Amino acid sequence: MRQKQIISSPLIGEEMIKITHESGLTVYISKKDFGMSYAVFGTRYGSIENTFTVDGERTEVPHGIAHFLEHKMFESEDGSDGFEKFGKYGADANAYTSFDRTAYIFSCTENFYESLEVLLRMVTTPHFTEKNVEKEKGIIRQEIKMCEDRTSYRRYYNLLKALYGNLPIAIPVAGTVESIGKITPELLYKCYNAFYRMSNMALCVCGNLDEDSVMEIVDRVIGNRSVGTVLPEYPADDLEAASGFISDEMDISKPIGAIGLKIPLNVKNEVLDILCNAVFGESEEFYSSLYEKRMVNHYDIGCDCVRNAKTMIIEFDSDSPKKVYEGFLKHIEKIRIDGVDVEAFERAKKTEYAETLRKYDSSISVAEAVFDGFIDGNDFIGLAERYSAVTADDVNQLAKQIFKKESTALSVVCPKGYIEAEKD
Amino acid sequence: MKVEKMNCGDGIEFSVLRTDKFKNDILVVNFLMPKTEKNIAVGNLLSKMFLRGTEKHSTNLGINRVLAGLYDASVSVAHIALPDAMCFRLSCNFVDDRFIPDGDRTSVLSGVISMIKEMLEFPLTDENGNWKEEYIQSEKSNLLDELRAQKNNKDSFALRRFSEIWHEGMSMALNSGGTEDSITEVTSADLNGYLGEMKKTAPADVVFAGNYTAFKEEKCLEFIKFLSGLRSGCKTNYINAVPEIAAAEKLKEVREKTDAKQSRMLLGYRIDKSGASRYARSVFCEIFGGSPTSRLFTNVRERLSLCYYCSATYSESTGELTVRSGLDAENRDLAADEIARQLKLLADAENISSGELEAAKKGLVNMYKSINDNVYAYSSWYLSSKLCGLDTDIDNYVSGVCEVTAEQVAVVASAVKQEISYILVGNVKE
Repeated sequence: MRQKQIISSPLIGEEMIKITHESGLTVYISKKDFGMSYAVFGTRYGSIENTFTVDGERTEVPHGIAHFLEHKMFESEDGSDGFEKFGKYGADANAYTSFDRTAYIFSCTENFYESLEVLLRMVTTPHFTEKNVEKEKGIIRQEIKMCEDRTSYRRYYNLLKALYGNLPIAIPVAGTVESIGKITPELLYKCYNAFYRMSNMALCVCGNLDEDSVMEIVDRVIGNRSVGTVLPEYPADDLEAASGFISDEMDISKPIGAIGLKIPLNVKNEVLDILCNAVFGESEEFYSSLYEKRMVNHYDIGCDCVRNAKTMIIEFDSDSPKKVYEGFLKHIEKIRIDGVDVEAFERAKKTEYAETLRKYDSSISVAEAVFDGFIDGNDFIGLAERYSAVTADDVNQLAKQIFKKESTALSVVCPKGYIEAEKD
Repeated sequence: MKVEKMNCGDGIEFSVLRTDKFKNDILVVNFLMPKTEKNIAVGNLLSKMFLRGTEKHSTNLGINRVLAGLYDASVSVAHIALPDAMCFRLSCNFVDDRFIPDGDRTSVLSGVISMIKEMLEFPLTDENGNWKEEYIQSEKSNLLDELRAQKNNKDSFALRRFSEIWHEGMSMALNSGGTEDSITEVTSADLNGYLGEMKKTAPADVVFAGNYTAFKEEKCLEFIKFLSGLRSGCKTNYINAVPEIAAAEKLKEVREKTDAKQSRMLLGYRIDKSGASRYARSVFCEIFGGSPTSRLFTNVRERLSLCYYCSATYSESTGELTVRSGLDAENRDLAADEIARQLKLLADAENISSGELEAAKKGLVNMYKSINDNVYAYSSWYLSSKLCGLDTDIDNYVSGVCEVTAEQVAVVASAVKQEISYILVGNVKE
């Protein structure tokens, strides 16, 4: 039975349509007067869904298979290529995979409905053969090597390793040169059939669009596909068991660091964002005093909220990453006891409000934010209201709950031979 | 979006991109300065010093707090290298007043303009006009770190080395991060000299993009008047952002080593602009290596599986075509041969299918029209086109591209001459 809702944000005067299709697919349509339209068709399936059970049969797959599958979805049985089909209509197509999602996207200024049909057909008709799977391994090996040369990539995954040990969240999304060697067409079909079920997927479109035309294509291409039962396994994590310090060496000029803090899964993302900004934002004492003392440069903060892991991360360049980490530990202890400064809390709320508004300024950012909301289980349209409802008490309680040394780790990537000097 | 341009005299131009589609507005001020090794270092340092404080807000924290209070308005200061000039850019991005919640009467634009006026007129100096030495040393140290860190990112490092070697002896070869010596030598007097020249004689472009109400018009015009007041009657310098470039006489082949898992190959070509229109050159680049349906993507990556990326970009201002790919060094010749083969094939119009041509044209039209739909992309595209003396009307591009024929693309392909082959070899067996 199809269900349709108009969902809205009175605070910023926006609304959109949410439809649960007969197939189980969730469709979001945001009508905006933009010249460019954008579509995301994606699934709640990423690199962390590495072990799963379908109808009682348990399967464990090689790391990197979700990303590999995404690459292969662009090939069709007739030998044609997905990019070519989009190109015929002038649409710009792409795809991405992360820890907990895979998304297929396109943008265009003309021929939206033709391109939408290409997108839906491409993602619902897999074609994996021994030959095309082997061919892809060469391309993805190069992608992995390119990423492994990036200092920020090494710093990030080392941090996750320190925080989460051997859990799938700590394995690179694309896998390793070794793991992708084990991928076969049979395994790809198993993953596809398990996770590309319509009840696990969403279509998010934004632009100057007509609801009936979008749904006519959905009806025609998606139809009423059967829904099976899939149980992904997420190994349990001990929130208070992080390894504290991890280091690596590369051909770089000065150390770079990242501090991570594990967050319980039931914490509301909006409260977490405001706490993170009010304590570690660039308008606050913590960052400012480090910068004034010349202890950090290229400083960045953020919260990675994935289905089975939430992490607050601070990244920076520094000659003394360990001193920055010591300062961080002292600061979280102070905030845990004293609470967050009231003015900092107000500044952080304004920042999040402005950040939400920015997402409404292009069809890409609207549709992507809506898809983010689907993955997180919250409609994007209510985000400004959810931020507005956060109180200083919420933020202080969260600080008391999560600011613990045992949940933190420091990842450092140093120039070769630098580690000894850092001990001073 | 249509641009309304005003020549305000004193070398100042003001452009308004009027639209109420968006919830944020942009105000950008560009000053064009000569490109020299010294100016690069001084301008880079000045861009950092602007954010360390003003007379009224004497710390970085003070500035950040004012901006955060203005609904997270941002004022970024950048010193950008153009082919033959430097652009000192103050750019502000802020929530449109319509979306400020009831009960908060903040005028964000007024606050943002006050901040950039303070940066220009009342920077953080002492009674003798000297910049704070502690901050100078701190920011020099950051600039030196950034310069040394260029080798950390192998992709951009390879591109920089490629450009330095290709453009040896030209201003385009200058490192946009400066040099160790030039950064170390900057003094407080140099900062004042650069700032004084910039305020008094540099050609200035001001762009507002967004919901341009009568109130905002009043504020922007007041700001233009303020900029005119800084001129003190001085004559504006004429600065050309693009140099005259002579074709190379022989092919440069350079091989360098690095500590990395992947090798980076870059090939540089010059396109003779006399044979076809700029639209034909854009379509050629799109077919050759500009998209996932291009010759390079479908052959070097998809058919031969040699790399994750192999793409081409073209700069109309310099007439230069650059092909980039990340691969194993042992596959370098295979990839380079295939790239040369595809280039040769495109020199014959018979080898360009109508489907391929139409897809490339549609892809470009989509790209140009998309720029029109994003206030950030549009203001950035408008300014870079204008600074390099290129047409700033998107409709002209769209209609020009639509008329390109396969024969015109072939003319461009046959006018492409390779000038450099560069590879940064990683730690793999060769």
